[in-house]
Amino acid sequence: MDPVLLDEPGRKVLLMGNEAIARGALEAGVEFCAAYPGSPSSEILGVLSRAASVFDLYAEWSANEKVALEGACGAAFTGLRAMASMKQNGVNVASDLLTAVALTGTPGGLVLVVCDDPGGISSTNEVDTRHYARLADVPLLEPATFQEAKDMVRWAFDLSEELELLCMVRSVTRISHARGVVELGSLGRRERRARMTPDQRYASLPPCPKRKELKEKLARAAALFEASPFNRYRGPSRPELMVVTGGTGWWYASEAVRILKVEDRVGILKLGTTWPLPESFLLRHLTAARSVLVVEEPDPFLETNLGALLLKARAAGGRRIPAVFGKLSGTIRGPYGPGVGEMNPDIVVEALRERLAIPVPSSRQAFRKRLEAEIDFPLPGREVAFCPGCPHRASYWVMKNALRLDGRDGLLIGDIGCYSLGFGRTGYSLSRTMHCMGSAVGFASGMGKLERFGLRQPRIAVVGDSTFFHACLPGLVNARYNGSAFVCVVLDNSATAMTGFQPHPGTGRTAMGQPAPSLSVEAIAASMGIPVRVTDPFRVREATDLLYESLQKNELQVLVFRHKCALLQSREEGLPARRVVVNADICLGERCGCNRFCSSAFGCPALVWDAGKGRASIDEVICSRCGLCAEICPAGAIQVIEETES
Amino acid sequence: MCLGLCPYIEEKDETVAFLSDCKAAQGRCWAVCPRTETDLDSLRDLFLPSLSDDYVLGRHRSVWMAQATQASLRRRGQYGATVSALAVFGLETGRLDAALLSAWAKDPSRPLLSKPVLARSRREVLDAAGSKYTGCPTLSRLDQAVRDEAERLLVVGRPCQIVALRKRTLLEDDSFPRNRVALAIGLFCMWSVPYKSLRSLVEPALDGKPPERVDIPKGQFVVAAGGRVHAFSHDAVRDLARPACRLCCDFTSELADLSVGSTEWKDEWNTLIIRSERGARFLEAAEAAGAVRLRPFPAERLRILREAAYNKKRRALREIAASPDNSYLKISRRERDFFRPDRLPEPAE
Repeated sequence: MDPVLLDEPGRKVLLMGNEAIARGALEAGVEFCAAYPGSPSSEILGVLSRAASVFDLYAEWSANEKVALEGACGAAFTGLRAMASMKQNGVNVASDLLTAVALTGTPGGLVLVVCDDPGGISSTNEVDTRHYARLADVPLLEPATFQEAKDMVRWAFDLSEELELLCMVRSVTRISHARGVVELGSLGRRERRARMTPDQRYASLPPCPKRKELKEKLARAAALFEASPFNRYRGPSRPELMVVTGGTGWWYASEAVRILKVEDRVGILKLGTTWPLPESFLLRHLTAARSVLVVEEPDPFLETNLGALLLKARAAGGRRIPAVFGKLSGTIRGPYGPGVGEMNPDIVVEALRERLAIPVPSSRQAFRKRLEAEIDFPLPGREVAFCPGCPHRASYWVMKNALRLDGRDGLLIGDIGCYSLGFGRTGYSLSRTMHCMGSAVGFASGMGKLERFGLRQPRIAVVGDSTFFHACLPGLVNARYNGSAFVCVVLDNSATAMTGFQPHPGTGRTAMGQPAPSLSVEAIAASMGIPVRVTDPFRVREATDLLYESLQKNELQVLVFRHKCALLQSREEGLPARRVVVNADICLGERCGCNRFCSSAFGCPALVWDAGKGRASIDEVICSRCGLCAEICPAGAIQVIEETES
Repeated sequence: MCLGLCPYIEEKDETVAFLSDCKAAQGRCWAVCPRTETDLDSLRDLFLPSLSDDYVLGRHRSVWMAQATQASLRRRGQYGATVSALAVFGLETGRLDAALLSAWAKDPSRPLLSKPVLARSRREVLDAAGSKYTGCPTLSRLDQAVRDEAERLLVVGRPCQIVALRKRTLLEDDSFPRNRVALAIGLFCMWSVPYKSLRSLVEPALDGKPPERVDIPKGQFVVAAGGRVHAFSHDAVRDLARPACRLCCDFTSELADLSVGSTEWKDEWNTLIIRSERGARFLEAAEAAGAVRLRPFPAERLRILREAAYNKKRRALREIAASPDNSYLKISRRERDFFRPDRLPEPAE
């Protein structure tokens, strides 16, 4: 059985951080869970949707993060325990509601789990969502361990109900996607009925009295945090330097102190409740230290708030106010400088050396020099690339060809999804913009009104199927209403592929595996009065002609490029019973004059240049047998051989 | 020409585009393009040997007025329908087995778009008869045609296409059986208009009707379609001409075996320039068979023809000299001397 679902309190299991978060929600007896997928948060709802039938809870993949949080609020208004989970970008989407529901509160426990991505490992930004907690005046918990990830989520529901206020739990990639030992607690099984009584009304008006109430709730949260077991200090009673940290920073700081063997000089104050600050707890410890080093990622959030706290203490006549170092002082800095990028133990080690005046041992310097000399050779660049057989490569090939044939330097406006890789060489570097979900349509809508200012370049807004439902509809409505002209190409690969094949409104099934109406991209666009055409990008000529013709018309159009994701295809149906091979008798290699067209121009990773034989070759290990390259080869040397059963 | 040779280059609506970025510094496209560096003197020596240089009309044997003998051809072809008559004669006597021509694409949404055709019969030649005035990519079919489809091929093209054809023939490439090009008929051409430009100017007036005839009588650009004649300003159309045409010195297809154009005088006749021995023999046979009839070209008209060719060269050379970007468009020193600004006007013959 899935260890997350075990009803064995006290048992220790190995859980991924996101599984621990889901387990915490299950132990809290969550009834309603909603999310929009996004790394590093996606597994949370994945687990909860699998748990849905066992625990009789409801889990959904929502159309976007704002709707997910709205759904959870709806459940919490009726007294249920509800949770929304999302990545940091999602909080931007949901933030309008976040600041509003903070003012009204909910009777049922309402938890927002956000998984941040410091360093932007799988994101287009590294937004630190802790600022949202302060912005919206909601309590914020930050787990440092997998055990805490579970326990904090469980407690967050209690806290939320006690305060009647949304509670935010913030994880990061290295918690969400790493694994550790978690001791299971008892599963919360509660009998709850969803109901709103006639006296229950929730509105954020009038704002100021509501805000006053909210501040009072926050003060109660701070008081509760004073005694929270998630905050603790380990180290000498009067340390030379006190590291104040939370979340992953605690791991890095602990490791750095161990590496430098400065346990007798440095203490570590770990905060699990990072907003509002437990001020008395903090001041009690901080005033015992000569100086403070704040370790966190990516922004100096704690550091800024701590600075404000110490200023307040000084104004109140406090003594022994320690100096605070961290990112604002430039002491904590990664390769991109302070306040940018992911934290790691080395960064903390260097900061500790600086603050404690510990020289770098000469043996280490010598080793580093030797190492640098050893690895001083040109490593081949490995760019991100579409998978072999990816329909997006076909789509970008088609879009490139259509734009070049059109010859007016048309603009390809990109969006968020697997096809974001179109910004790189795998998509022939076509994309001109990439910002956030749905923005391609909004950008193109604006650009489509610039003819009077001389913009003659045709425009293609490229969005995925999941993205279409997530955030493109208002943009399309706007474009149609305001008479903007561009071609919206929807790359429909029948999946939210980049985040792990979660279903979406077009796939015909729900998070809990139930059949659902499959919303049609073309029907939705057509209902707005927008001309819609559907084609398969693997029919390269037809798709290119269709797009080319669309570009000649100066009007809003939707073009659906529909072809199932190659990974999904092979998962569902296995690899097709055929082989794609290079016919050595036909491939002329360098004598062809095609200048390695298949491997250099088309660029599928399965197409390789066999330098030994001087001709093209196919890496059958990664080839998805899609056969598109057979159409691309100008000599007809790439052939698809159907394998018959005999 | 480059189109049929390279997967990186494609054409749509007569616009040639690099679809992918080829890393070759100078590939075959470079070698065959009429707008890359071209050694005209060598090409002349190779294809028109033992003829004296004529920097105005190009090396040639004689100039004639010509027309198809059959009125049915003259009704369909441009002016005297000489090209159609020669093509039909060649195909029907077996001297040719195919003719690479340009015909209307018959796309109702693009009535003025043309496409390359490989004609093998009188009907197919007639289907392609008449001037198009845009840049039909005829030669994109050349390689395939001589490789797989024709052994005695007639190529009809604009001056730039004849230069490309000759450059293609010189390219060291086993895949091109050069002896299968039996005859090259070059057309007179002052300029051609990109289809897309003509499309926006002219096609709205046609209302989807296929063109029956396109012509440039004095001061006008006329398109007959659907029983109506639509006239446009000559200057407005000329202003749309491809920029490359302004750099082109070749009005009369100087490297062709035979060159054919308007007389700018008698609408039932063409001007015909006999250049190569091969062209002369072919024409001789066609005349002997009664496929075409010839008349001496009046000296006064020859002066006018030479003046037109001379002026186009002068204009082009001025354009070339105006920008260092054009320095690759070389002509020989003797030719350049001939067109020195102080040598006006052209010496009379």
